[in-house]
Amino acid sequence: MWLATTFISALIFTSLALLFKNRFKLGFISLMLWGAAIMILVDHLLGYKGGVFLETETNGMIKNSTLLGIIMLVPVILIWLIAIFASRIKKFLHFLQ
Amino acid sequence: MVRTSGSHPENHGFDSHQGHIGMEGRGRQVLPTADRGFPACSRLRRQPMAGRESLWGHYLRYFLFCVILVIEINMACFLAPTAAAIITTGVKKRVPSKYHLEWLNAMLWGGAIMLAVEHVAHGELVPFPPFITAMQNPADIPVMLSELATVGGVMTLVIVMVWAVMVFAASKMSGRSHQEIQVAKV
Repeated sequence: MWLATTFISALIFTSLALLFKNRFKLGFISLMLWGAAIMILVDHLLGYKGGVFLETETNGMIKNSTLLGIIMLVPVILIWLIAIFASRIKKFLHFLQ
Repeated sequence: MVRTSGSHPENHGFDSHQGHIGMEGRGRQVLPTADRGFPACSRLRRQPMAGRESLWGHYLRYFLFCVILVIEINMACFLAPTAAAIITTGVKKRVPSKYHLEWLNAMLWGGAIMLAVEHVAHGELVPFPPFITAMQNPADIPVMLSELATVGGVMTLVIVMVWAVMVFAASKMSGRSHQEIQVAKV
């Protein structure tokens, strides 16, 4: 199910990037999410041997695969926020000079 | 039914007793840390830096780093895109901006980070040596290397192909807009 959550989030952020052009570094996070979605899709396709393609439960630490998908988004969103923050600081320092 | 990532449960389990490692047997079982000193990279990191290094020592260290990198690329599927991301980040300033290497970087880093989180959640990555649970049983390593190198390699290849298509499309679009500007000027 984390494949679905990644695809949905990539679609949402791409839509936002098209809506707010060149703002908030939305293109950057969209690319990160699309890259992740492609990689997870490849992982699923190569590992698929029949049965359900998108599982709802896993055997890992996080049992719910949707929750796992949401948790997987956290570091990417954090990096995006840090990138926005860094660019703002850069602009502010440039303004001070 | 409880399942692991993206596959049928019977076919993709990490099962050291049967000598079979599925690439998606995340967290099915965590093996005991029998061989903690196994990866060469961890041993090398613990070596103290020499005060005066000769040039050959420097080359040797670089060569060993490359060997370890190649080995680690094959350890887990997400490490192949991670290694590719490190390389593209390193050469970013040397590549002309028309190739938009930042797009490739973003896609590789995003995928690598998210897959790393997935591996941690499935218990495949642990915070102690050998860091990858499948590496704890040396008998399983060849099977793991072949399976995981394939998946990681294909992932990286697909991302590079997508990036190439994006760059091609962008160059075509920019070329077309440039022609339109020229026509408008005339």
